Amino acid sequence: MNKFRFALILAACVSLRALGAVTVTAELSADETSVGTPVQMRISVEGTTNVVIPDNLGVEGLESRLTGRQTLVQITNGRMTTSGVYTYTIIPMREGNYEIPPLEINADGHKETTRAQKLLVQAGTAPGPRPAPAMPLPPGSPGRKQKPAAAQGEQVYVEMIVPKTSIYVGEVVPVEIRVYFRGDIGVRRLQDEPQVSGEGFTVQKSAPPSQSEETIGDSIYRVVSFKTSIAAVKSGEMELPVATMKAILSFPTNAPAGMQSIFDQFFGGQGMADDREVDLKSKPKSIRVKALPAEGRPADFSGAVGDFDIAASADPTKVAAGDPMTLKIVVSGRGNFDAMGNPKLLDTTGWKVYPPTSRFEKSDAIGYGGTKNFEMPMVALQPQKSTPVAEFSFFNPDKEKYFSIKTQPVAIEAEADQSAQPAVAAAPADAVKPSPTPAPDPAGSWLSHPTARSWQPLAKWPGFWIANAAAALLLIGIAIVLSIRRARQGPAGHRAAQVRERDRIVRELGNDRLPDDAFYAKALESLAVQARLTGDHGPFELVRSLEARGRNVSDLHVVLARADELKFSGGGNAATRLDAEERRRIVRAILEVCR
Amino acid sequence: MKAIRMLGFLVATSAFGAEAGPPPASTDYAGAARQFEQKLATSPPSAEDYYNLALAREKTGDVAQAALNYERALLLDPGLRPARNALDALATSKSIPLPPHTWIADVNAVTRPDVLLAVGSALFWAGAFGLLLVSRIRRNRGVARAVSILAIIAGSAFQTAGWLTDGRLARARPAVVTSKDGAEVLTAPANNSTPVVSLPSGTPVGVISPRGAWTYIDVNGGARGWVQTERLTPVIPGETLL
Repeated sequence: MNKFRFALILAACVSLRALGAVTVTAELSADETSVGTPVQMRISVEGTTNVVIPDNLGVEGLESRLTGRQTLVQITNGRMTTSGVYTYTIIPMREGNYEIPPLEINADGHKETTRAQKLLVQAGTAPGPRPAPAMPLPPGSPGRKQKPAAAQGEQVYVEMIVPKTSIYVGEVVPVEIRVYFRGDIGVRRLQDEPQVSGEGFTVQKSAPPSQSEETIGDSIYRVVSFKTSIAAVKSGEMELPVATMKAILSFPTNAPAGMQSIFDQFFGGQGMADDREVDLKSKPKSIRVKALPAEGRPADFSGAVGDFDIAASADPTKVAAGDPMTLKIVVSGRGNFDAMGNPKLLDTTGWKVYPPTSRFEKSDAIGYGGTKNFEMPMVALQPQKSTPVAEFSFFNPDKEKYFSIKTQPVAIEAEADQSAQPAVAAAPADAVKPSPTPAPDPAGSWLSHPTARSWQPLAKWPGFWIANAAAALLLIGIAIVLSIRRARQGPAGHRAAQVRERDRIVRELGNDRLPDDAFYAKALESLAVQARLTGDHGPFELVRSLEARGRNVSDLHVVLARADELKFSGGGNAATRLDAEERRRIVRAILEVCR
Repeated sequence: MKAIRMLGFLVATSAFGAEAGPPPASTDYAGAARQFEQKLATSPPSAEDYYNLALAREKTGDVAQAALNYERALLLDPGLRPARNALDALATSKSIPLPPHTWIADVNAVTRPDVLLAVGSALFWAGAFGLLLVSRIRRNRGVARAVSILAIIAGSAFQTAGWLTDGRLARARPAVVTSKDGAEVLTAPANNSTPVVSLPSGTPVGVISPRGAWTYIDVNGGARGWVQTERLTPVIPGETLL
């Protein structure tokens, strides 16, 4: 039991890396359909892209094929997530109430199973497939849910959806570029992301695309949508950037009926399709770009356009003289974080403030929303109870006016820095020729006092293993020696040990400072050990056998009697206190017995 | 004031060593980098020198070499906080993906893996010898036995932690993308294979299997794929990706 406990403790002590979790979900694009009308089943695997998945669902009456694989690797704030979406296209061949059984997927070496799905197939016309959720756009977006009626019937086209018809210079506008492929068009290859270019605009890198399906008129379209953002750099009536993409598409040819499989009829199989490289291009649109108003522009306005909040904190909040502290200012919201300047400290009297560092953490794929963290190192030159107030100005394009927002002063305790010098080590060059202003580099200065280290870890150093091996050998050696000694002792060794034990006790009896009760207890103990050596059952039998052999054991009887008295009465009394002569006599009697 | 300057000079020049020569002019970070490189080529490696070299490289705008040398400093001394902070700041400003924060970083902030391993070994053997010899003592035998067992458990835990937190013992050998235009991670060792992810210059990766012109890598414990070997530089100098 104890061993089991120790094993548990040991296992708890030994920490191991947590294993990454993989989640698998399945979803049908529609619960109902009709014979011949395809639906899609999407398998989403989050946590890995190393997935082995069956080619079809294997349900009788449903033609199915794995028609889409999309892997997504996202790096957000330095953290990487991987996921994959696998799409089966299902074409019902006859009506009925089907259950698609759980699908077994090998994800990163682990078997994962989806939930069973139910699909009702009717003989008549089925409701259209449920459209996939579209990119969330700001309220009032004219492009939202809008069907491109003019494009109906086209096989392939590109549409750029801009949620506004007029914008301000510097305003970041999220846009969606949608590429529509009619269901009978096969996509052999599609450029990773669209090229968006236009004079007078800056364009952000597109986020990874998403896929969905839409019914427009009588046709089903597969839609690949890319999200990005644009910002105008000058005012006036401007042509929006045009999105272009290259794609290799497979256009169906008129093969004789009966020569194609049902999938070939839908998607154009090899040998019955014409592959062509196609240049896709969105239609040009114009947009009105307004200049930022001069009226009401704050003096510290640095070009931020959007809607923002500001907050501040300090770390540490209690510092000694000369110690730097960091004022952290967080500007969060939506807008042009790239063009944003530093917040301004309103009153820095009594502070030595260094230029801030900034770090942007985006909260969406295109960097339209997020948080910008400014860190200002500062040293108090005189005692302080709170940090300076930071102010930040921006233009809100929705409300069409400037705002100046301020932080609350952060309560701190700072003692004065008498030397009024920064508490950072100087660079070597600065040491030779100090610059007028100290190196404003909060990320770090030169480090002195280098410590020699090695690329070879201790675990690969031969000396480490030699030392461990020596310790192990020593441990084994000691164990062997102890075992041998124990084995050698045997009955004779045991007897010798008892003799040593008896002699030790007798030696202790010679100690004059030993109290009477301890003296009698040890005297009795010595007789007990002697009894074991002579084969008698205890000191009383030993004394009796000695008496039977004619030995004078009167002193030993005193020991036995007095020891019993002390044992049962719990202590002696003054009347029977031992004197030195009496002690010597008893010791002599015991030595006589031992001889 | 002159004395303070002289003291600062002495402290600063100790970082360069006797062979490194005089420190560079105040803005000559390229010169400083050369001096640190020269010192590292002739002296035992030190985390502080690699940090200084990285800092100088960062000042000259060489992101890849800055990231590489910050990684080297952290491999030698994982608890070197200025290097960790500087690498984090560089990664943020240059969109370099770094591994997520784990318990290993927390342990490294407290002590170095070598120390954990050495202390763990000492504790383990002390406990083992104590357990063996506990029968020779006459008093408080139970306490001595418990202390010995605790020492064995603590020693084992320390040794395990020392192994797991030492980047030099990681299964995937550390490397950094040092080509100026970054590296494309592909699903197969062929230029026309499907891209998995694009890595900017300065990204740390783990080398799982070098295969000549192509190397199979692990990106921060997430995606895996192939990159051109010439785009990588091992963090441990002198190692080759062959």
